Order: sequence, then structure tokens, then C-alpha cells
Amino acid sequence: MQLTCPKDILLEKLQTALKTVATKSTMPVLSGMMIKAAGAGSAEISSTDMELSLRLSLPAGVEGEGAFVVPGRLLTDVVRSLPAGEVKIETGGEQAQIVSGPASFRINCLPAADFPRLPEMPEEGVFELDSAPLVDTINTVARAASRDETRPVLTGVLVRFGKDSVKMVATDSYRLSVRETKVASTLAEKKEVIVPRASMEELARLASASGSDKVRVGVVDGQIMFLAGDTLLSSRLIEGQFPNYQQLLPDEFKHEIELDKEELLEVVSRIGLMAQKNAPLRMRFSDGRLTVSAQTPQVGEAREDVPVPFQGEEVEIGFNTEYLRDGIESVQEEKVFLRIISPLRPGLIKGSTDDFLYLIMPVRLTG
Amino acid sequence: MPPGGAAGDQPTPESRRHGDRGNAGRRSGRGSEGERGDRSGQGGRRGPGKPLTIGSFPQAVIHIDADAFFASCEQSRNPKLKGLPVITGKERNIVASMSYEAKARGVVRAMRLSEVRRLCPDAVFLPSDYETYSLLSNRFFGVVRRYTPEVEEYGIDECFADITGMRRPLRMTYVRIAEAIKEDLDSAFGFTFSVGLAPNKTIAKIASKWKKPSGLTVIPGRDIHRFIDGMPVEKVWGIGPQTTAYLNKLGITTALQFARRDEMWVKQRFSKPFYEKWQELNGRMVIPLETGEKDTYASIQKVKTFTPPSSDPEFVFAQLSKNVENATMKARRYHLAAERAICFLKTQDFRGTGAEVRFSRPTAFPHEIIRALTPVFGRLFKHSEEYRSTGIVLFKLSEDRIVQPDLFGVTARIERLAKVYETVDGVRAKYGKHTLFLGSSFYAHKFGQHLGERGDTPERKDDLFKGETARQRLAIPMFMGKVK
Repeated sequence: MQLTCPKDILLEKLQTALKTVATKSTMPVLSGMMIKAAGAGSAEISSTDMELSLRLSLPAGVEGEGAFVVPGRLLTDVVRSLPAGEVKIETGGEQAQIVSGPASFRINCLPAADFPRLPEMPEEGVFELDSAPLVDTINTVARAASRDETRPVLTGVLVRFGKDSVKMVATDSYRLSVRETKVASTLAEKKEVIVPRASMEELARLASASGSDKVRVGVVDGQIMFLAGDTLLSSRLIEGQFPNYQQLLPDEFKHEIELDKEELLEVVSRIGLMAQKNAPLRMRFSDGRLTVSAQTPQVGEAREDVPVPFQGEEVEIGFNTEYLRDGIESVQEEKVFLRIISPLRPGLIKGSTDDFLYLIMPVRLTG
Repeated sequence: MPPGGAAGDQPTPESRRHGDRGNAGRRSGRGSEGERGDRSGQGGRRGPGKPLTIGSFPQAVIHIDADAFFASCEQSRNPKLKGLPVITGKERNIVASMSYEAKARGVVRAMRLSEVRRLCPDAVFLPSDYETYSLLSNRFFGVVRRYTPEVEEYGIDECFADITGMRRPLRMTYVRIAEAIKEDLDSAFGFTFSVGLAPNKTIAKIASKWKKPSGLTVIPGRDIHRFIDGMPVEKVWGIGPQTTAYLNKLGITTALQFARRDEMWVKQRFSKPFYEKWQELNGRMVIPLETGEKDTYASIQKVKTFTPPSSDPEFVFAQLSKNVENATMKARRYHLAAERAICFLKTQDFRGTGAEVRFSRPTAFPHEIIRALTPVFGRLFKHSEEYRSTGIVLFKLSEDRIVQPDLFGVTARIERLAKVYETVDGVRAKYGKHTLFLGSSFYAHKFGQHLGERGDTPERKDDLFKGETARQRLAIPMFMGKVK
């Protein structure tokens, strides 16, 4: 087959597909991308690392039939190095020839027969929902998922698709993020799945890049598929029981402090610079005042006072700066509400509604 | 060869026996002994050239190495053994340490005892008694600390001491301080130590090794080149086989050739540790003494051999379990917890198999590690094999203090367990290390580590009084020196 396409478009697609090209796989063919003819005006680029797969459509002049697999990183590097203009890729067997103006490359292909068959969007049970709220929800929740592979279930995001809403939950056992978003959906009955964090983040990127305002979703055989524009993303689902997060939420809190989101975020980011090497960020609440401070031995310290409507006995509570900042950032309203019980019990960050809840375990303070 | 005789017009390294009291306090100039004098005096060969540095002791560092430490400890505890070829390591069936009498007969370290018997039929074989050695080792460092607080305990039988600036308070020259330390040690222990005085650790190490046993070698900065001329580069402390092979490819075979290379040339080709070696060979002091007590570890390893070898899975697993208990006990002592472990089994024909396990969180609790190892052991263990040793390495260690508790209450459970093990460790500290152990280690405690001849224990552990423990006997002061 032969394919011609402007360099810029080709490069953009290759760079996207490169994200799911396996780098350390025992199957050499997974380091390749499959390029397949899909009619006269388009081709498909596919790549997979067996956990996450992508299939992109490439607008291109296509002649002939068939598919070939080329080393993904190499092809991307080659195309990136080419001058602007038409790129011609031609294959007839074990090598692919890439020609752009006077430059020409021959790259050895990988065996196309070994390339795994990527999952297809199922015929039934597919539903559609609005893209923007979905992306928003992912961006606020997924960051709380764990990176520790020893508890696989926590490395995923629990996604509950409802008839008119989508709810996501993620926790790394030190903080828990829950958001429920109203979303127009064509779903017939509720679905609950655990999707790897990386897949959700990739979906958010692709969906906002695709320009399409709808995402189609299908679940089949331990896989979930998302179609955004003409890009199909399919991901392995994580099996297992997600912890019952509801029972972690305390029934009552002792204090609720209303703060300006931007102001608090700035103070936390600023003072947090002095909370290095696992040193906590200290928040001391006294009558009408919040003192944020941090101290790292051999580095230095910082402190700042913020007027707050706090009354009662003085409380000092410590948090991991990064966890705290993630929580405040995820609030979408102008005001944040911080609820606390005691320095050893979890605190809660939320906006003016209950749609977003961020539970955070304090750090123990010494001295 | 009379001292200084072969040196001709080539100055050669000086080296004195401790006994040369007459020279105390002043250097004997061109004195030389042994083959090194010969070598540098050989006709036509170019000498070491100009000094690498002109200062003598901008810093003064002493390295002290006990001569044949384990064997010497045994000889000094039991005067009957003096003058005999004494060998320790009976429980391992190989030579761990040998006295100079045994060395003279050709016994080398790691030799099998059967071979030693052939070579030296009158050799005395003793089981290692590490508790005694470490007690004596502490006393050794204590003696050195009388002269300077800055002492690095580099091993059980060697240490570095920085005596820079101690001339005035001690009213002694650096050489005299080195001599005084050696005199104190030799008379306190009844065996000898080899001492090297130099401007830094790397050269001090060369100096103490220069003459063994009972040497006292002084290498001032301006004489370094004479000592390292012709010294194979792999003899320099910290230069291993890989670096040696690389240096050889660059045409460098001796330490002096390396030291003479241009600073930029070295910086471009070598990583920091080797650039530091180069600086020290040139008489600068860049590697500081690590005087703090060792308070952290990168990994903790416990390996134990047992005889006779066994093909009983329960017994072999109990051995592994005992190693896990010992390793975690050490981890808890240093407030460390491991994220990963490697366990391994070695067969009678010295083939090993092993596997790595990851834990969901750092732990120093043996029952958790043993639970994780059980399926791994099942895969590793072959009923057709006879095993001779098991081992465990704990690594990816972090401080066991929990700063960030979790939402699910795991932290609370860990803290309860920590209390349990605190009590267990307390009982062990009071009544002995093996008074309390897990059921999975039972078979390893029921039988001695070694049955037969290798199972012999140090004499100190025999004939105890009723109620007396071997450890208590360790503390009884022993007279080891000579009455002068």
C-alpha cells in the first residue's frame, strides 16, 4: 500500500499513538505501530501496550490495501525530522519506505501477523455522554489514585455511570476524592467499573484534543472503550472490590471553615515551598485567624497568617502539602469549605455543594 | 639485605617495626626493608621522580589494622594457643582467620579445613566466637579514642583515626602519637596491630598494609610517590576489578601512573569516587572519616549454613524463618522497615536459587514476611535436592516511623503489632535472643545449627554454672596482657 499525508498531520497522530507504544515489553511487535489502509481517504494507526490501546484515523491519500507494522518511536523520530510538506510512505513486504522531497528512508517492518487484534466497539450497550463534564471530573479525581502497584485496585478510578450523572472515586489511602457530575447520557442502566488511572488521564487528554463534544462508551469482556471524535481508546479494567469509601466519610465534623479558594491555594503553595522532605504543612486555627507554617530542618521555615471566621479552642493540624493542594485545586467554586474534627482525624475539603468531596488524612505533628 | 643497602641513590619508603624504639620520634630517613628496596634499586629503572605534593602532613590520618584479629583474640584469651597455628571458622568448615604461625605454613583464607589438615596437621581449629570478637573490637576502638575523638570504625578489626591538631594537646609528634597508640594496643591485647600514618585515608590504608604484622609505616605527603611507584593500581583501597581493567586499557597499571595523570584527564573519564581516589593519592584529604555510629543500612542480610544438609522442607523453611526473625530484629533495632526482600536457598553442590518478594507496605514484622515467603519457598524448594544454607536480604529500607497515617486504619494495626514486637524484643534482650521465636522457626531451634564436629561451640559456652548464660561469661574481665 501507499499513503501520502502532510507532515504536520502525520506527526501529530504519530505522537499521540506513541503514548501507548510499549517500551519494555517481552513482545517486540508491541514496540511498533500498525498502519492500515481504511479506504481511499484515510488510514488507521494503532498501538497498544496491552493495557491501553489507541486507534486513530489519519486523513491521507491511500492507494492499495493491507497493513504493516513499523517501530513506533523510530517512525515518529523520522517524521519529526522531516521538513514540512508531503510525506509518502510505501510498503511492499519487509520494509517501509518513507520519502519526503529528496530524503528517503527504508525502515524494517515488524511482523504484522503478530500484532494483537485490538478490541472493537461492541454493537450493543454503547452509550454516549457529554465530553466536557467527563473531562472535568477525570481531571479533578484521577490524581488521587494510587501509584503503588501492590494494591492494584487503588491504582484505578472507580467510575459509576448513572442515567443522568457520572461519579468517580479515587484514593491512594491517604486521601480520597469523589466527584459526581450531572451529565446528559443515553445510558439504559447503571454501570460501575474500575479504570486504570493512566487510561482515564489519557482519555481526558484525547477527549479535549478531539474537539468532539460527545464521547461514546462501551464495556465488554473486561475492557472499556471510549470513542472521542475518530479516536478509539480501549483500556483494560481493573478487577476487584473497590473499598467502601462511604464508610470512611465521618458523619460529623467539629469545625467548618469557609475560605477563599484562590487565596488559600496561593498561601498553601507559597508556604509549602518550605515543607520539603516529607515535612508537613501546619495549619493552626485560632480565634479569627489561620496560621499556615512549614519548617524543614537544615532548609528553613515560612509562616503566613490568614484571617478566617474560626471560633473556639485552638487546633493545629498538619497535612502533606501536595495532597492538600490537590484537594483545594479540585474545588470548582470560589469558596472552599474545610471541615475538621481533630489533628488525628481526617479532614474534608469541599465546595459549596456536596458534588465534590475530598477526604484527607492529616500528618502527625511532633513538637 | 642490610637496611638501606640496596637503595643506592634511590630513596625508598621507610618502614619501621614497632620495636625500633631507638628511632622513635625521628624518621630513619632512607631505611628500607625487603623486596621493595630491591625493586626500586634495580639497575636502569627510572625512579619515582618528583614528589606528588610537597607538604608532609596537612592532615594526619592513622589506619590501624589488627593482625589476624580472630585468631589473635583466641590466642590472647587462651595463652596455651600462643605460637600454634590457630584457625577460626570451624563451623563454616573453611578458614575465616588464621594466626601468623598458620599463615607461615601456607594456610590462606577461605581454604577448606580438610586441606589445612593436610598442610598443617597440628593446626588448632576453633569455632568463631563473634560475641567475644566484637567485645574486643570495642575495646580496641576505645583505646584509640584515648588519643582522638575522631575515630571511624571501619570493620571489626580496623579503624581510621584523624589526629590532625592533636600534637599540641598530646604534646607528641604525629609519629609519636601513632607509636603510642600502637604500644597501648599491643600491650593491652597481647597481640600486635599494624599502623599506618599518612595525610589521608587512602594513603593510611597503604601504609598500614606496607608492613604486616606489627608494622608502623609513616608516609608523609612528599614521600607518597615512593610508596606507590610500582604498586599495582588494584591494590589501592576502593579500586576494584572493573576500574582496574579500565585503567589497564588506558595504559595505567601502577598507582603512581594513575596519580601522575592530569586532573582534567581523570575528571573526564572517572566518576566521583575515583576522582577522589586520585586526589588522595596526590596527598589531599577529600574522603572524610565517618565517625558516627552506623545508624542506618541500605540492606540487611542474614544467611546461615547448617550441617548436615537437609531435604526436609519443614526444616529448611524453619532455617529461613529463623533468618527472617533475625533480620527483622535487626531492622527493628535500627527503626527500619523493608519494602522488598530476596530469599535464597543453596544446595549441597553450592547452586543457589532465589526470588524477590514485594510487600504492600514497608514492614519489619517477621510473620508478615514469612507469610509472603511461604508460596515463594514452595516454588523454590525441590524435594530432590539437599540444601545447606538459606538466606534473606531485606532491602528498600525506610524509617519505620509513620508520619502519614492512612484512611483505612492500617496504621493503627501496624502500631498495635509494633507494640507486640517491642515486648518480644524486650523479652529477648532480657532473657536471651532465642527465648521467644515463631513456630515456623521451631525446627531450626530444636537442633543445633551444625551437627557433628562443626557443631562445636566456643569454650566460653561450655561448663556454665547453673543459671549462668554464655553472654554473662563474656562480660567477665579477662587478663590478656603481660606483666611488665
